[in-house]
Amino acid sequence: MSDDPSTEPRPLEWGTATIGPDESGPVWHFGSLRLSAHRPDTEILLKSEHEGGEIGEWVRWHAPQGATFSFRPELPDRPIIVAPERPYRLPPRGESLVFVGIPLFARLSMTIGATTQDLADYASIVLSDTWWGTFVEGELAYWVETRARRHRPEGRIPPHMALCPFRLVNNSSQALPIERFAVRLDYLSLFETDQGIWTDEVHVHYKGADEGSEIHHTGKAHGAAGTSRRLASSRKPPPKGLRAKTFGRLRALAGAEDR
Amino acid sequence: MNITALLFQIESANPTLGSIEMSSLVRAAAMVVLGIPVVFALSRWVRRFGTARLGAQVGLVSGKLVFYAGLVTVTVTTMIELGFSLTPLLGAAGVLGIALGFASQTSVSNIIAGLFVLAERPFVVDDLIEVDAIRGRVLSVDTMSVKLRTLDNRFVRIPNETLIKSVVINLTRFPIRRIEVRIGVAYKEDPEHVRSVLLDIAQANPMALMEPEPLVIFEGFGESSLDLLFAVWTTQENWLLLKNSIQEDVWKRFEAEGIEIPFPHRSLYVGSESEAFPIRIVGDASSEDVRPAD
Repeated sequence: MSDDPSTEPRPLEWGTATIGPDESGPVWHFGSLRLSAHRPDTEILLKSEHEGGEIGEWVRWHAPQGATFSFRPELPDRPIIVAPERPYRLPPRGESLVFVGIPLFARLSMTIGATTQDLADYASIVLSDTWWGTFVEGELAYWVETRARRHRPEGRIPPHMALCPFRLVNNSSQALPIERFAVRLDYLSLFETDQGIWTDEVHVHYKGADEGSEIHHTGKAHGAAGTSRRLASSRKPPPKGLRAKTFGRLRALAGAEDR
Repeated sequence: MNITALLFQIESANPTLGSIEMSSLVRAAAMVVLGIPVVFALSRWVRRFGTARLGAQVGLVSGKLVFYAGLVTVTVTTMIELGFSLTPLLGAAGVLGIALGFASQTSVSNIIAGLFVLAERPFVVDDLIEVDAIRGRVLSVDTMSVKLRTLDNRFVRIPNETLIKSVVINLTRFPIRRIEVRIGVAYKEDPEHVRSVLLDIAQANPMALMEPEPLVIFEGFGESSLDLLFAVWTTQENWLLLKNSIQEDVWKRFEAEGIEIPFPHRSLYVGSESEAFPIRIVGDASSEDVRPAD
């Protein structure tokens, strides 16, 4: 890294991004992401890499004169699978609130006149793939290293994360083991508060092993977030009566089942 | 004068063409003129309906069945209208049928086998399947056979009868698949350490799924090595990419960690208690020539 201040990574900020023709900058940091950009002539060149990861390559986009660029936060494009700090059991009719840290993506958009096009999404941290389902069917998801906490984390939320309050309600007649669960992100909005970025609250009502879980979204930030401003709307409007497989057991998909 | 009036006049006058009455001729012509387009339209509709509800293969076969059945119906009805007696035809058809039956045993068997394949759906178009050591992508499932494109771009036709009697492996039926890498490490290596390194390699590879969990299984004590099975899951799309990258990752990491993948070892002994044969490299200036004993 050179001593030139213009090449020192600076925090990525939402909104309009100023990108000049100089190849040496700017460089933004966002989580473990390092994003470089410069704009010669009618192109924009972008390079992304993560700390400790492989060196990125420049990607070119055609960008006519007069185009402007901006960043906005986005949630990952797949469900994330989260484990609690310590597995626990929720008794029948029991309810618990956990807080899940969700790594954000930064979406770069290009505006020409009145038209805005999304160019690329950049993950703030490297996310591992995982499978949510059975050996025969399921969906691709992201595995998140951060744990779901029973208490709201103190201090400011890291700028590359969003905090999601996740209320679990056991409406079945049996104890519900909370070992890991899926957070579906298509229906979550983002809110900016003094403490950082929050999503709206998710209520999950577990009906039993064969019935899936009913999922509701409040559409507003949690009360503990304080004053909030909507930063981004959900990708899809939350449907009424959303049901999906939400809870899973550790080793439900142990790869050694057939040996 | 309109058509109806014209037809009425023809019917009343009842002229003949040879032994065939004109009215019959007109009716027969009408059956052909109207019937053939109806058969075409009906078969196209059945094909679309079958494709939308049950898949492309079922739609195609159903459409063809309706087409040929409709064609036969129009032909037979027209012939009856023209006054042809079908009795001798049926008699001849019976004899012909027996002859054809013997001749077409295989074809009929393939058609019937094809219906079972359509009903069971062990694979669909674009699946990667293996039949009798032939591996390829399914191009089409037809009435008599299944067509494959092998991975080196050869065209293979497998009769349905063969398919029904063979073991068919569908490699792409399920969304995830496991890669198994068999690794032998030297006896001096700590299996726990090797296991930890392999699991770390899996965790670091973005195409390897966290769940189902990667596995390292100690398979046994081989002749020259400790034999391990390293199993990692991935999606169908990434299977080949991960198979290459995970093995490269293993090699690089083993080099970095100094973990030895041994060559096969052999020790030669004379008798049961003696030391191994001494070995001396001959051919360089420092060594003496080894002479055979007199």
